[in-house]
Amino acid sequence: MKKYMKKYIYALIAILLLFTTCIGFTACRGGADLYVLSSRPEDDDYYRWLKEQFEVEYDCSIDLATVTTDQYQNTVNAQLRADAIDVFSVESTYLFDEGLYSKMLTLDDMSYNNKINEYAAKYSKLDGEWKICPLNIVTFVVFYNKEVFARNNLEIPTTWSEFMDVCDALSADSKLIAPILYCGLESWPVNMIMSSIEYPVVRAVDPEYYYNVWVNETQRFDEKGGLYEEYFDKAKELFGYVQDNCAGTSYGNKGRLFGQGEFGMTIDGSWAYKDLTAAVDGNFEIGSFVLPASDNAQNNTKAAGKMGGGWAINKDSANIDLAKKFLEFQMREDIYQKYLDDVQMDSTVTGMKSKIAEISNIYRYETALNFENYKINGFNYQMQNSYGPEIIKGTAKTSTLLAAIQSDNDTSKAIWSQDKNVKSWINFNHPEKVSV
Amino acid sequence: MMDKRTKSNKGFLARERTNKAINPVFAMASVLPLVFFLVLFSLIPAVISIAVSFTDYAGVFKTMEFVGLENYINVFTTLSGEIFPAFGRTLEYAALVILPLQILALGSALLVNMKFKLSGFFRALFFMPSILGTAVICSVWGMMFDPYDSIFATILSWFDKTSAFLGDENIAMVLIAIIALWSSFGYSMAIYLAGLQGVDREYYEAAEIDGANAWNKFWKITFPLIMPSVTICIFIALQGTLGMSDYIIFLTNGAHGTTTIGFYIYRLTLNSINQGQVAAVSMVNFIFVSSIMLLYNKLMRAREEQL
Repeated sequence: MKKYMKKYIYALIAILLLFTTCIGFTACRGGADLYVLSSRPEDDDYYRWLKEQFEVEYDCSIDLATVTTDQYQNTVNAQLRADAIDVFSVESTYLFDEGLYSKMLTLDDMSYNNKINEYAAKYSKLDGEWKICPLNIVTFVVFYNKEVFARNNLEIPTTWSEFMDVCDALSADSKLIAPILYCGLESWPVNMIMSSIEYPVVRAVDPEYYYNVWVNETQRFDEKGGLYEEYFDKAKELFGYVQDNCAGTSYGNKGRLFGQGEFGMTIDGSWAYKDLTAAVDGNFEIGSFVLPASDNAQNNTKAAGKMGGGWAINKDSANIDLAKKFLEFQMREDIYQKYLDDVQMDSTVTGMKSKIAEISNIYRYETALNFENYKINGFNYQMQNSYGPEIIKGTAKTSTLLAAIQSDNDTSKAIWSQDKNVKSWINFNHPEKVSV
Repeated sequence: MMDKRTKSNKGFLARERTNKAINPVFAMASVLPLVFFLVLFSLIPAVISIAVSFTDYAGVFKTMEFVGLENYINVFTTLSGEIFPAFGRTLEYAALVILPLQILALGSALLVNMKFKLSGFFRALFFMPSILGTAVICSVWGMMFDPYDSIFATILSWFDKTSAFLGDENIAMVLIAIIALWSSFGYSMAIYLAGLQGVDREYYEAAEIDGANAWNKFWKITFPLIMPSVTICIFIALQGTLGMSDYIIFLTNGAHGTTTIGFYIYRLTLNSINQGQVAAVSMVNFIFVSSIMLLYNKLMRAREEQL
């Protein structure tokens, strides 16, 4: 018995040691010179290429990991706490996350800074210091089937009434299931449509609309209701032209359905072009235009969007020099050009565009900050969980929607008071007016 | 000559004697690995989670502040409009799954327990969905419930009908329950099958002599004797349904009236800067789930004793 027990205890110690060693190996740096964490699995092909090129040029090794967007923020927080990464993907909103911001290295001395365009520069700096190496800008646009438009003798609409005429004409096309393809199973895609309508209808008319709502809490949406009534009315009108049972269609099936050529248009983020063209597979050409939600054509010249992403360096990185070289390398003209062509996003560098004509064409509009990023107190931003589904069903009255947008004022206020970073965000957008 | 059976019994008795004389140090050492992993991966995180629920932890410990009961007050005030409907949907889902799951699993177990040519094939067939990953299951069923170009859409079109299926809030939860039933009944079937195989044939033979029919044999013999399996299966189903979030993540992303409390916590974890708030919601959920489990346990013990 004693003999077996001794063996057992030895085995137990061996297992525990093995386990501890495994944890140790997992936690410690495994020998790479630079640890990079990306949040875009869609761009993995490009990043693998970038890694190989950089490794050859600088005779080093990079450990490149990618985490899906929804899991990213938690992962990056954990990895930064352990100082297990040197370079990491960021969005401009991360500047207002206390934890993340405190780990970002100041990048004022990077040589590419003077090439970054004004819009991207604004969302890469806080308190005048560069914290982000901005890589791309994304916008919301209407993608359309050029063959279907040609078949119906349609031109790109420039006003809301022209857009409605296009929808009516496409409704009469018997080869189509519906004029507009909308995939709403996951419900968040409604945000893209609402954002596309918002800028021309609200901010293009009153640029200080949200600022005024924010400063004066009593000035609610119903009091300025005119613009928001129009916003809801147009959204309901638009959803009258999407396919039946659109709420059951998964966003993942969008490419496949659009590729069948049975829809005239679809409203999406500019990032979707890559998937849509792959699904269409050369059967027809895809064009794009900004949703002309206003009846005044001059208000339909900006696309709602945001700075999509960039890189930041962990300020406690063990290899800051190499991390900086990585960013410089990424922004080198030839490398960045390949990025724009492969990833198919809009450029953050003045004078540079994708060499693919269709991609440049998508980004021919100026970008207006997506209104979700304004974080206005009392505004219900959870469109997909509140009034979004009501609009899609087409059953809701505008008065009900106006109430819904403010119905959870208390929740919004609570979020507002908890979120220390929101005030920084507003301060950032209106530094001349607000002191926080 | 001692027959095999006697030998075996002697061996068993010998083992029993050995067990009685087991060295307490050996016994302690045997449970040590389990205790080690349990403490490391369950107890310590649970204690940390309780502590975090009283703070505004946002991913950085040095900026963390103690906020007292604020996060818990939020659960019952500002967040109640989202949390309590999520609890309601969780109970709705549990109700849709638990009883049908037991009927389906027990029925299949009774079927494959019979001696017929294809019983082995059916056992494998019924159990197969249990070994498929949730992502695979949801991907396949998601395609089958597409309003266009799917098998169910085609079937409905024969009757001149259409449906948004998972996009229709009136039926989305029912469809998710059906998918969950399909994918998990094989596991419960295996537990019931083990229970059925432990029932001594002699009871049935005696009942047949007394003229009992199949229904009586099931209710008077089979069911009471497999009661421990029923208890375990319902317990597992309760645990699975009250914490379910994976099917929602893959199928609807919480839309169309399908946000269960498990999914709500998942979404809050990803979207909220205040992880202390997430911990507080998790604690309330823990109390909710464990209350139901304790109540169930009490009821089932009483029932087992009665039987």
